[in-house]
Amino acid sequence: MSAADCERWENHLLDLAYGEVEPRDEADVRGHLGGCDHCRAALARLERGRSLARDLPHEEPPGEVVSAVLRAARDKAHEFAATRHAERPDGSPPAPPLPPPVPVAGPWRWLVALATSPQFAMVSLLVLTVGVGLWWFPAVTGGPTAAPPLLAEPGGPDERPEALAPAEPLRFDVDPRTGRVEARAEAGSAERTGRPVEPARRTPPPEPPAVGGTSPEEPVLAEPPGDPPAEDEALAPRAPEDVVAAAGDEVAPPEMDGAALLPAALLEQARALARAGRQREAAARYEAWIERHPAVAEAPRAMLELADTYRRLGQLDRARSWLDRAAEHRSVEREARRERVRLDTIEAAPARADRTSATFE
Amino acid sequence: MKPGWDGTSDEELLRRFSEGDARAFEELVRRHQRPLHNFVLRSVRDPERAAELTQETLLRVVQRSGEFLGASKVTTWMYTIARNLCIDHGRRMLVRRHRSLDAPLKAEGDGSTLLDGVAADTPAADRRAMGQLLRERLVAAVDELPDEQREVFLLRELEHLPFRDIAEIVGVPENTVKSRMRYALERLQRALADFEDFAKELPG
Repeated sequence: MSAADCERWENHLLDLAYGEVEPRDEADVRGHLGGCDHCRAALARLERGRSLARDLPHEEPPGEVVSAVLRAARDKAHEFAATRHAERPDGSPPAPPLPPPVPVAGPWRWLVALATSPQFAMVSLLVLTVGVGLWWFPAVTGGPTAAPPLLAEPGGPDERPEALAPAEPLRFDVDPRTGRVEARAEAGSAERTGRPVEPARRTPPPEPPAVGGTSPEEPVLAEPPGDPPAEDEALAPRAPEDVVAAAGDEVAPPEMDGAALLPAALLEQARALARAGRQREAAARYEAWIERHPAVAEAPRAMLELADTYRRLGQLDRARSWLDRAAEHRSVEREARRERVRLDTIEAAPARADRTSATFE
Repeated sequence: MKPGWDGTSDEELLRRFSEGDARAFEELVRRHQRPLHNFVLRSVRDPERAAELTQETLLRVVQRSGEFLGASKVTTWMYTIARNLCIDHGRRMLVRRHRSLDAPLKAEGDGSTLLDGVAADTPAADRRAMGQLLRERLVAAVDELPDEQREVFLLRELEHLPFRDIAEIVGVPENTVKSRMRYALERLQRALADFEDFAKELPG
């Protein structure tokens, strides 16, 4: 049997060497091995290589490294606990940490594992997002009962997903005392019968000017004059007059339950693309997201991630520009400045960067 | 192993940490500090820098643990961070240190070289010294692997990650990961053929 005939078996040989061959394939693989000297020799080499690999010496990390990490972890744990404490409406102290879980034995173990798995949580989040969308959007727009696609791909920087399109501006009011959204009884009913009114485009909150954004390849975003919004502004409860002013916002009132889910899901899409190595698509998503949600608390973090995405694409000018924008936000300022320094160092070694980039990406 | 956490997944540990339980993170560190450090060490081949990068990786996990949504495994996330840091480090290196047959075996340089080791392959060679020589030669052979083969080899052999998870970390299809692993094992086998019989007799 020629080596070419054996190509399809090569990865199965590796699985066999690691004892991970699929049960359904095992008989076929062993059957082939029985009549193929070439594959038997290849399997023997893999097993010998694996046997040698077990002698690779393992070294312990320095004690001070572990101590520093555990110290930071304890500080962070206190921070988490304090945050949870602050979130409790009655201000009661947080419950002590739960003891380690007792593994569930018996036939229900699989059910517990399923219910506590991250995949289950993601599916639940998705179902919740779709559910909120189905409930909320028809109620606001008065349109057909079918919900728009919630996680539609943005086609470009100027095209917003249907789900993010603003409701017709006069179809609901916000009660300034409670911040609740009330459907307006009559106003706008004439428009509802005809062609949808083009919603007033939201003026994006002012962004700090991008430093070094002189290249034609720099991201072009609307940057109206004015002071940049304070980082904490997005998190602070709005005064009643702010609520009224926000009534025409593209993503209607943040006080509405579930309104924050969609931006979070869209940001997570950008992150998933980046994790999957689809950096160009990720960059486009991040840019569109930041443009639409500049005041969301995650925006500075998204800027950092966008900069990292551009760094991976080798577009260092853009990466630098977004790092500079991120550095305007207190929450990520230090990290942004540190990354900026690292980026400058990377640029100082272009030959190595090209080589490594070609190898790894 | 510290009692109490057996059977608790890494993801559950991180969730508990994000609820304020520092002990859960200690367990996470206990589980992964050694393979993680060795992955970084074999990737950057500089003990001092490896310590810094191991620390930076774990600190990033601490700082960003609240953002972990569970879309992937903790190990996948952690090693992606470590790998990115190693790549950044590599990019900053103007000259990459290549270990050659004539290069000193240890950073502190005791003068012996791999060639000396091969030449000293005599029946009278001390068993312990031979074991040490094998390990040094193995480290050198791993260093010599191409980057894309070495990282796959290390993730598999140090952390015992499934090939599917490794594919997610390095961003290539699973079959590509398996091909790289095969090439890595075959290269190691060829590079260390002289030691095979001896390695079989070494205590595990």
